[in-house]
Amino acid sequence: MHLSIQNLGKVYQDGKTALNGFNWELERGIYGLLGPNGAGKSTLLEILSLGLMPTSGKVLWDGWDIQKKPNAFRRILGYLPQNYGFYPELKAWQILDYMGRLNGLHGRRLKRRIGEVLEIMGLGNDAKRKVRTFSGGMRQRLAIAQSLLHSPQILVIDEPTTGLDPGERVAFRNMLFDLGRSCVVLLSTHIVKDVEYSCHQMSLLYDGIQRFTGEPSEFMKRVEGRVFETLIPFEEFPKFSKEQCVIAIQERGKVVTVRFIASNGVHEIPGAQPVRANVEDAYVDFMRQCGEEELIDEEVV
Amino acid sequence: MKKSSEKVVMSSIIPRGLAKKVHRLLERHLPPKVMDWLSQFWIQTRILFSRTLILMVVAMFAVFTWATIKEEIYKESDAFSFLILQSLALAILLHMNLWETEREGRTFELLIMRIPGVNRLIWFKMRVSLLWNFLLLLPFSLGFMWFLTIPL
Repeated sequence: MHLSIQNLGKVYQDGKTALNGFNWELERGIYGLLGPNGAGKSTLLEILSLGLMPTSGKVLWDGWDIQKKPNAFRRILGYLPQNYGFYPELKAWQILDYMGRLNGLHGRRLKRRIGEVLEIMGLGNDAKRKVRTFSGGMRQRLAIAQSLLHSPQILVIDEPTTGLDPGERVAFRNMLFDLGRSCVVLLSTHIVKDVEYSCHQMSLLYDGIQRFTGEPSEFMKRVEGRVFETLIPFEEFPKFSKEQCVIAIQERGKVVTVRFIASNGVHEIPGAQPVRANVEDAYVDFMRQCGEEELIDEEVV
Repeated sequence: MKKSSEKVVMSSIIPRGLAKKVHRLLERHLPPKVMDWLSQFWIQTRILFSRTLILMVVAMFAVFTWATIKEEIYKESDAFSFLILQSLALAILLHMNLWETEREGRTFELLIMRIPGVNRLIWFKMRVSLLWNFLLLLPFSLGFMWFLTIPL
């Protein structure tokens, strides 16, 4: 079970480079793809799900090129796109029956798989309920269930936790953990915490370029020792926010508690307490740096 | 409380349990490929025929029949024109509803993974509405054939 993404690139007809020289080696486990809107995440996922042809590079699954054997790859791929829906008047099992038959499952095997995936997703008791009565989280679980019907070896999920409440997000992460033990799960998301809590490796895209690939703990190192919390008077906050990279702010009467990343090279801020960094801090710092780089590039131009 | 915009599908007008019994019976006796086709046809029929659409189709047939009687059509060419007009109206109604349901359902993204190629996907969807178009017009076409045999 090995997915190898080699020097993958995509240039659209209008000349826009959506993806440039992307490399990644994936094996069993959960992998997170992070990046802002327009970074190239969806382009990468669309190439992996055979919806787009790359302009350079290739994707190999256990050594064979997926573009050369698309139908064989489709049989082992489970894909959950960002924008999907279900017919609201159909029952959960009917949707799975419909999708399963299109996947080439029939008879007893189909029935067994429908029962299994509904149980895995915690929808065993809701099989006979119409989809229109489902909550956002239940729909999301049903969507995952349909992508698991044919027992895929690789699961590609685009923005799965958007719109879920905190409880549903935690449940979703736990479910991902279970899936990651049996297949390659590639998760694209905006929600940094999902990557921090569930992925054992992450890749960061910005402007179509792969900026980081490695473990989330490794990514956090970029801000280690630079994340602080301090109390400052409310009226000083505008000046403070211009000098430091503020991550979070909480008003407490006339003062505010500020969590911030100290600028590079500054390791001691009077009155500030160092706190444990997380992936979100590193991500914000990274984005700030990208923004500064862009500004410098514009100035040079 | 039920929202007024919600569609009520055909399942609600079919006796509970009957569909299940027929499904089991067919599954026992038919080959898997045929069963797949029937199952997909059934699901898509349910998606296509909301109660509103059934009423619209009935109303359309009623209007055309009434218009035929009122106009006192006795010429073959006029009857044929009416039949063609009715076929077109029905085709537009069914296909508009088909794509509207698909737009609301937003299932294309999930289906394209299973039916690669947009043309194949469109055909997969359209063949059901085309078949229903044919089935619904069959009595009228037979009526027209009978009409041709009447000596005027």
